[in-house]
Amino acid sequence: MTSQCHLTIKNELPELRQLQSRLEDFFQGQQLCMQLAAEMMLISEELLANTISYGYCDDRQHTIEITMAIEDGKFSMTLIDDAQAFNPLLQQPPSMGRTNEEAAIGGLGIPLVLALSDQQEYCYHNGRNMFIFSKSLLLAEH
Amino acid sequence: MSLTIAITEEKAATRRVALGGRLDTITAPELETELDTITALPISLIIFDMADLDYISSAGLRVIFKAVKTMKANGGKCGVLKMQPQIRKVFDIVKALPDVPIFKDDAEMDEYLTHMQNKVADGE
Repeated sequence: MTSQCHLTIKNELPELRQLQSRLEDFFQGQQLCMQLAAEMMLISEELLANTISYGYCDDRQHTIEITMAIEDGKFSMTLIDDAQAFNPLLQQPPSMGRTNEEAAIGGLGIPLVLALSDQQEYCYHNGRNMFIFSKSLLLAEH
Repeated sequence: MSLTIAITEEKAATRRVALGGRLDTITAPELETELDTITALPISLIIFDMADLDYISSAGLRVIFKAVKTMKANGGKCGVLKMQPQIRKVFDIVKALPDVPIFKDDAEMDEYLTHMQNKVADGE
């Protein structure tokens, strides 16, 4: 059985609160662990904050489509935007364990995305970035 | 949920910054403003008390890193106190703050600070 939730947000950072609220409602409705919801929100925030802050080269309002789904014991989220083509998976992760200064130089978000999700997928098609990440609900440590 | 920030003077030249709620892309600028003010003071130690912090993202980490860097440049230090498991998990993933002490409670922090003070007194 599939459960799904779809929403659209504007390319503005305060819109992340709307996603947070919907994600929490979705997890509560499915009676799932709320700490897992927080981790999925963290992944979303890392990806979307980057898109919203750096992905657009105009001042126009854009929309970002978000779909979250649960199927076969797996949670997945799909993010679709019309920002500039950008594959976060191709970014070099920062070298870990270095000094604070070196570790702080950009790219902290991607290690979090990779560590907190099981699978990630990116494609660029028809002028849109699509990023999908998923997490097994059966193996989650909670 | 938003971010709460409570700043107290523990001892001379020490500030405790108690954080609560969410430190994320939206709330991080508030903390940055407060820390910019504190790190401009003649203090030697900032303790980040994270007992009530429920969520942190990379935006929050960067603000804390910036304060750590500023304190270090000024000859001061930072410490982190009482991280909840989910916060510790984030720090562990990005291997953040390798040279900043992390304490599980006030007693452990006090023991460390006493040890450091004794080292200074002994001329080490």
